[in-house]
Amino acid sequence: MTNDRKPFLLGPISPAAAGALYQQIVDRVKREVSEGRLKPGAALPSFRMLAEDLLVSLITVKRAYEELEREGIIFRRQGLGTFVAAQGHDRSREAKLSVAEELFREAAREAAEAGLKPAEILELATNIIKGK
Amino acid sequence: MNDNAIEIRGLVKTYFPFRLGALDLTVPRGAIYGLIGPNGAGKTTILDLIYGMGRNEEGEIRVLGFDHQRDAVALKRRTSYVSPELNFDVWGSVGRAIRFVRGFYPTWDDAYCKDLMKSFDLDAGARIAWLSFGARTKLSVLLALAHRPELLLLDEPTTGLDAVSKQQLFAELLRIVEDGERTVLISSHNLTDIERFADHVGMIRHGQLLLEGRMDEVVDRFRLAEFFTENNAEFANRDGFIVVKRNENRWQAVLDQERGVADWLQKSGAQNLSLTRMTLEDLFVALAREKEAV
Amino acid sequence: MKTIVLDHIRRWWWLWVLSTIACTWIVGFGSPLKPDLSNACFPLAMYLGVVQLSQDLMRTDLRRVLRSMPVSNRQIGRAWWWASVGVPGLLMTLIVGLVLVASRYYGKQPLSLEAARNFLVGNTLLFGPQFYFFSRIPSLGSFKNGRSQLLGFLFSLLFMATTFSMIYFYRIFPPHTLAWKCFVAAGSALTIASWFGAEAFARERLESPPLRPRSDQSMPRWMRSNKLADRSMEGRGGMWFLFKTIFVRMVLMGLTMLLIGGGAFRVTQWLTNTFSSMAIQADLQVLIFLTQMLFWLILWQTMKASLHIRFLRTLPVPATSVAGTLIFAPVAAMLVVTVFATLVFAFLFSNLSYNPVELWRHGSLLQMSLAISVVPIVVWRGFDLFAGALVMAMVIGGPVSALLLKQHLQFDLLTHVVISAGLILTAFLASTWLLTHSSKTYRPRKNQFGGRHFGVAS
Repeated sequence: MTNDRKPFLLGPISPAAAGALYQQIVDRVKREVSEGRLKPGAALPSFRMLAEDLLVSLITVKRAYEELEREGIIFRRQGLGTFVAAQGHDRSREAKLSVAEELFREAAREAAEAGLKPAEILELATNIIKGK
Repeated sequence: MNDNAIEIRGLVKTYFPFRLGALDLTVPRGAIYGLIGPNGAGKTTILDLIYGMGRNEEGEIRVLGFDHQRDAVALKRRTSYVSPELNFDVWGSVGRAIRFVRGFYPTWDDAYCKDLMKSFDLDAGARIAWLSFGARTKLSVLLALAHRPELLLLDEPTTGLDAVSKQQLFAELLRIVEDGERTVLISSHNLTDIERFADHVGMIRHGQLLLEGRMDEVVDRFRLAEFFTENNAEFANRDGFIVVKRNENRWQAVLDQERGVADWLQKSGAQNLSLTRMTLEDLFVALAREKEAV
Repeated sequence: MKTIVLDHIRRWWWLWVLSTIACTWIVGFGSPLKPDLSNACFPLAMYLGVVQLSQDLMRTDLRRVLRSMPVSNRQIGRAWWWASVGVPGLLMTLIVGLVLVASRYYGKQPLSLEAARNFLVGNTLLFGPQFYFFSRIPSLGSFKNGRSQLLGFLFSLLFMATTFSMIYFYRIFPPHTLAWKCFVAAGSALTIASWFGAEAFARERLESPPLRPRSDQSMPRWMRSNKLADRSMEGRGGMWFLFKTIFVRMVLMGLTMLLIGGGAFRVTQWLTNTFSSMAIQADLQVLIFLTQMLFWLILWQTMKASLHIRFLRTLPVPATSVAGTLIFAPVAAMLVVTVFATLVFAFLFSNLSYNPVELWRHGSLLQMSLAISVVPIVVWRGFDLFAGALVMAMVIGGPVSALLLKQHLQFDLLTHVVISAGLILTAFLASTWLLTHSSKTYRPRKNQFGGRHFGVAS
């Protein structure tokens, strides 16, 4: 029993949810990494294992891994497998930040279109963050 | 070694008034290939011709490098066919059906067969006539898998299967293609499943191949375009552009991004153009209806 | 009610037409055996009576449709009665009446009124008892306890006896005897009883569990699964196994039916010997008739095997091998059955004068190859209306014409062998060609085989 090797568990993904299937996998892995459930250096399951686990085509998993690798969140070692990169945590945090920024921008635009003034938008945001 | 499990070139077959082809189809080795198309598009005809049920008038079918007519037996030894429509009643019990089929394949794997019987809950003594529809499909799958075919052809396999059995089936299919050597071709109307499990997709309509390629690329290529027009500009279907719905000056259309129609649209007076991702199902419905709309 | 009767006739019209033609011919031109009708009997009730209804009832979808229609059980029951007893009876009366009138004007030897009356009474009074006995057989779904199983067995036996008794009807019940009077009394009583029992019959059939239950828990234990079958996976498989399965089942079925048919004949012979002056002779004619009916009946096993042609075509064997099995397994079985037939005959009637060669020389080989020719027809068309009508016509016409034409078929054995071999070879080549050149009949979602037509899949 090793404590540093937590079992790998990604939530269910579905074509009905928003975004392409591979994008959903990318997002889930990023969340696992940024929330610390996947530590740097931890091994990820092989394409095939993950495909069987999530019941999606190989091509979807492959594409998700390629995307994650491109963003520097994971790296591949020939013959050894796929691992979370040392800077993966920061990278996925950066990635998450940029997603958050994008969503905020979108929210601000929607609010502006609904006729809210900047001060009102700010108030709305504060209320949401405080959980009202 | 050939990289394609199935190569169909210039295939033509006429069942008056239906005409298939001329059709080209390429199923890469190691893939799960989803063959989709409206009812009567010719999916079953393709599968029939591969198995020599009916003769094609023109064209060539090569399966695993074998000519489908000259090397019919060698081809069939390495492939399997699954359909809920297959009838095994004559065998009486599940065990006798297994015994019959096992005799054909030197590659039959008894241990695997036992595993499958267990996971599909099929008892050797069970009477086939009393099996439920889903259980008959499972029997067909079992008989097809247990000799570990290099190519598996499934014709509407999920009809009548409950959600659990369906997941079981797809998990099994994913395991088959694990080593990258075995290939699965699946024809189905359940497009959510196809989008999820298939690596490649081919869509046929009226006996013609409409599009073919990697699933993610095909789905990414098309977008649902929403826009409105002033000055009563009219848009008709054209290459890479299919109108889905129209309500006065509001439009919804499917847009092929490889054809550069977005620019054309904006030049022609489309306003507030927004593009959203489509599921395979939405895309299918739009493409299948294209001809009717014109 | 009228709708149900009309629907029934519309679906079975071809059998009605065929039977009417055959029946008119027999009544009009006398029996194949004797010209004065005293011995004539066309087994109309074998085709028209409740037999059709029994085929319909095997199809659960028909029952589902009827159950959802706004008609009472009484209406349905009485509609069934009209379709299986009333209308065929009227048809028979019409045929006999027309022939009687026609023979007055055109016949060299006018049909006597008495002969016509006896023929009419004898034949029409069979429909009612047949319907009554059939209606008392509990439906398969309610075969739960020993009592209903026993009743089912008893009434099935009576039903079969009524249906097949007409072949030797006037020998069992010669007119002007006590047996005849008993028959008329019992026949009338059962016809009336069948009318009043029709409602209960409809209720029982429509409300009983379906023939193919969703879970098999409602079936008796022995029907569900047997422990022996757990070892059924062992042994040599492949095409050889299909050949063996068809062959063994046909031979067993043939042997069983020979014993039942021969036994029933033996009992009848004893009865007529004891109670009436017209004793039945167990002669070559009987043997030929019994054997040749059998060919058609045991061919059913091949039909069942042709249900999975689509699957057979995906297996790694050439089309010749599939066609060969479907053709030559029944040929082998039928040849063996003719040998058994002479053995059973010798055993039951202590008559050692017949051998298989004699049977073959008297048309058995031709009959056999005619039966085999159904295989390519089924490969070609499935069990559609055309194929069904053709098969039925051959089933009716084959054995009868063999009896009629036996004077004209006096070839030597070699001619029989050559003609039959030619027919069988043609059937084989035709099947092979059809298997590779068309998949029309065994394409999925077409349901020629999948349905319960002609009771094949049940």
